[in-house]
Amino acid sequence: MVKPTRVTNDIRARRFAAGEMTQADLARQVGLTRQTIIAIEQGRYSPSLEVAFKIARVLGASIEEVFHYPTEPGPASGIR
Amino acid sequence: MTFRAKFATAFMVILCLLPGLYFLQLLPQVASTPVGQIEYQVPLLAMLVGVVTATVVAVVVISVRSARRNEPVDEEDERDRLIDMRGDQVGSYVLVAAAVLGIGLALAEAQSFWIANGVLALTVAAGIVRCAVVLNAHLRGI
Repeated sequence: MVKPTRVTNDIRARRFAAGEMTQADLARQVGLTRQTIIAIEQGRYSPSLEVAFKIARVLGASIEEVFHYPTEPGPASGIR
Repeated sequence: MTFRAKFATAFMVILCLLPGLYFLQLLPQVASTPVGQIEYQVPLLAMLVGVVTATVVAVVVISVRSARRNEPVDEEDERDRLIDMRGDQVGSYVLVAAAVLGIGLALAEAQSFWIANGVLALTVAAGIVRCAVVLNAHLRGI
């Protein structure tokens, strides 16, 4: 299955590092549904910049430590 | 599957079944009877009432089942709003086609049978397309 986003993240690993935080806990703290946290973790949804900042803040990291984007240009990188 | 995805599935099934049955009983008559003599008004209204009733029942059933499993039914965030917007956007293309078809048939002075059923068919198609887009976005990502 082709993922709709090239953004990857370490949310799952960082949740466990942050005292086994559950998806529901993280969702509640950033004001999202648990389904959206699941979609973000699985790379099926790229959150807005504001939500990305909130997630990073809750996980005690910077946004670039949590979210990653490949440096090489890909099919989704063109400006339309 | 979330409440919204379940509802999109249920609504798509309803939109396929009830209008599908309506058109299935209507189309054989077109081949054998002049369309001006076909009594389509009462079945059409009955089908619309059926769609509304079935939708209300579906919402109640899905809500009750979700509540029993402690699944949230009224939560909404930016992803849900984006998915709804994407569904509305794609569905609106078909809805515009329904409006253009209706106007075109009226300008061509087509019989009311063709105008009503043509607009109905494309309106139902718009609903099915919207549900399909929403369901796909929930399951495969957006």
